[in-house]
Amino acid sequence: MLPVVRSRRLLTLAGAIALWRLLDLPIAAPLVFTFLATYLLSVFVLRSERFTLPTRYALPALIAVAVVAIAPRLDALRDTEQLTGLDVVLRDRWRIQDTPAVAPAVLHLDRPSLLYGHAPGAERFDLVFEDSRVAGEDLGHGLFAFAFEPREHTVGEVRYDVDGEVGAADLRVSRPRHEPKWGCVGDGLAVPSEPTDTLFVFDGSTWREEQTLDGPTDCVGLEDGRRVVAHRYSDALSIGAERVRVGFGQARLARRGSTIAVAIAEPPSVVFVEAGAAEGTGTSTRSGTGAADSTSTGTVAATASRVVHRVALDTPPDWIAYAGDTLLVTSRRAHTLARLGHDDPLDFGRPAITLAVAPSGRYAFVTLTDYRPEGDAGPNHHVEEQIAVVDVEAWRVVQRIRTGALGALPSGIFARDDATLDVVFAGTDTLATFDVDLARGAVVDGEADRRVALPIAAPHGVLRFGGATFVSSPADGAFHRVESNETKAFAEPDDVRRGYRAFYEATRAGVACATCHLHAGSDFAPHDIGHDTPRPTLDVRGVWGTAPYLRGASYPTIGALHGFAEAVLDGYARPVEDRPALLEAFLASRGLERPRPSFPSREGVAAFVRADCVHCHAFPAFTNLAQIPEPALFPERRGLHALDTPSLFGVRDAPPYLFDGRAETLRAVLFEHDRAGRHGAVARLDEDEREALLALLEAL
Amino acid sequence: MSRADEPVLRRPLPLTLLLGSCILAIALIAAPEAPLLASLHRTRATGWAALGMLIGALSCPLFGRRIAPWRRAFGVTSAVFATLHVGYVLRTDLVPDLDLLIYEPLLRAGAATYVALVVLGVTSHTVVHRRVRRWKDLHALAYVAGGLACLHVLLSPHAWAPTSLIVAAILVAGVVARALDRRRWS
Repeated sequence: MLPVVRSRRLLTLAGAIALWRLLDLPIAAPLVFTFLATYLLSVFVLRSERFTLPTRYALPALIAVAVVAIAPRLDALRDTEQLTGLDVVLRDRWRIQDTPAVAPAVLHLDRPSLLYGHAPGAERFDLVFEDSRVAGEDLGHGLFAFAFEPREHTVGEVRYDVDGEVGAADLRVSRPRHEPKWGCVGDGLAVPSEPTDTLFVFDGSTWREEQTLDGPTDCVGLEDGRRVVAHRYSDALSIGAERVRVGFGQARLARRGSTIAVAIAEPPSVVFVEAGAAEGTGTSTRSGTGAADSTSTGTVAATASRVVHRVALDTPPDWIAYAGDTLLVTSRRAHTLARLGHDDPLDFGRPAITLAVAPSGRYAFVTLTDYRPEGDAGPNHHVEEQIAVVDVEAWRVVQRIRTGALGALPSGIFARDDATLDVVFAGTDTLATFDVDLARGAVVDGEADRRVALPIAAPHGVLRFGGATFVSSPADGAFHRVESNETKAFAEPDDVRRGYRAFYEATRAGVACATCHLHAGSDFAPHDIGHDTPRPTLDVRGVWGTAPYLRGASYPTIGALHGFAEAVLDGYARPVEDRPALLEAFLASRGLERPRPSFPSREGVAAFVRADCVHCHAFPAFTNLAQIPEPALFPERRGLHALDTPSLFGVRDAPPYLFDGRAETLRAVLFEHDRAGRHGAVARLDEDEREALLALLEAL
Repeated sequence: MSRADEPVLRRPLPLTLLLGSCILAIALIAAPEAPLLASLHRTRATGWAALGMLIGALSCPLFGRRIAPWRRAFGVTSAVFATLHVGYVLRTDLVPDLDLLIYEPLLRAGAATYVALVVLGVTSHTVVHRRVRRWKDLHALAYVAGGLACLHVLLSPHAWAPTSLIVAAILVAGVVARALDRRRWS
């Protein structure tokens, strides 16, 4: 009797699976109910002993039924049970749970950075490179901080050494690539490549590479032939061979006569430098700070360049340009174009992608992803790219030129004169040249006199030099001379470069990833992407390795977001093999920009732990990659969405905060928007601890 | 009954309940101070306790017939702790709308597991055994519960990453151990 009873159990399981298959619901939970139904069927309908098979047949029968029932529905089951991409989610979670652990997940070799290690109970934690090591600063509670300066290390495999125990640090290494974007014209054409500390210079006949200081972002030419270069990761401004300390985080330059305006991110300001006179000309060899020393030809031995003035700003400046005597400043965070010294900024509602001023100084041209003077926010993911023509004297927008018919994502603009513009579109790899006709009306559609399909991908910068038009492509590491149809490439294609193009490439709906995630950062504008409230765009630099993604953790991988573009934005016209993997590769290469990394204090870490922040924003990634339903955290919210726990790396530069951008500052997050006392336990901190906690968040 | 088949303890249920409750009590006392974190901590502690007991029940076949009575004890204790777990979940706003029990895979798998554990728990008493025909057939539901618990943990955002793999391995090992029990094939 025994084998018969046992086989009935197996047959009940097999029957439950078969019945589950008949339900045609690719969900696992109903198995409980189909099992109960099968059991009741066997007991009350089939009755007893007819529902049997010898065990040696029953077990294979169970396996066969399970395979036949489940195998064809495996994909559907994976989707409905949210198992797709779960391997990536678990891998990322395991990476930070498996101590000793190091975060962020990517080590960028193009910039100085701070990394964090977590090894509870450890006394010493070092990161070990080929022939060097970085000793971790013990911040308490098992957290260590590492100041990494790529120029000091040869990086192959990265290992850790925790109290003598050595192992692989599980860090992805991102190596610098040439990415020429926007440049300048002076004694030749020059375009900096920030990741490789290179200046590409074209003298009219040949191209050459010059090494410069860390993170060149922009350049301008002086009348005496010297070139001024701004640097993100150095506090020195290069004026020819001279170095002038202006501060870290130099973004853009503008020149009027011998006065150079430098837009500085840290602290937000514009610094004015008076360039000293050059004493002679010749060739100098200077010590490069990159891979090799370099030789620079030009005017040397300038003297006494100096900082003459510094103007503090509320938000970091992005583009700056002189219009006559007036310095124009755009702010990505505030979405404004302002005249320095005037309190009447023009608010576009979206950030300026780029800015150019006509040689006369009368008009400024601002490219935008959208601009609605009436203030209407527009529907989900709606964009209306345009060029706002600003009359600088009257200080108002005199015309809006819609550029949708010309291309997508106008990333570079050059004003030949008051009426003729060259515009390159990173989303469609096109160059359009057209005349601005202010008599046509306030809102017009751009009509190109000349529209060129470029052989280089995701063009960013356009310049005129020697009567020719040059376009630069950071995606290809290349330049294209339009009139002679010549392309000069300084790099080979790879997945990161293909991903670069994929990130900027517009869908058929005219929207690219970069439209909102401007240059992989944020446009600081709220978008309704399917939630009940608009939510601020996330900065996607440095997020690789923190699956799942988006505020609702609705995408298990970055590449999966490609599905959104296919389903909602009409997909892409250009077929690309494995676009999701390319997007992953590109975003893994984008790191946080911290011009001057500094260690957080032990007191800050102690306050962080005491306020229970560490339970969710866990060491070392400052997230446990988990989600919490909205009402659990904010009881006034009755939405059904889960909130993903964000990493706090770079949180200082990512306002507004919380899921719907309700908090403008970190202080507001901690002390104003936690009425239910569920977002940490800051109430138990005294004043000193609160300040230490805020300082920690600022330093991350 | 041979000595090798003699149960280690004839009535282990009080012991598993007592020991499990002590461990759970210690875990609950160690909750953080912040209200949400404390609630999450208690939810997780009770969940882990229920899972641990379910693992215990499913892994009994690995240790031979002498441990067989423990299976029911672990199973019943698991159902008790799962009830506590569900209570904390509902109290902590982790399920703001009961519709989520159908639409949210994590909660759906957890709810189905709980239903199975309740059925198993209720039908585990000797009195019920006398009344329910072929209750042993019904208790094969434990494997369905184990599979769904595995899915619940796999999807759980706060779980230690390898947990679901460990649960799945024990589940499979338990099934294989029972399948390879030669006396079943006689």
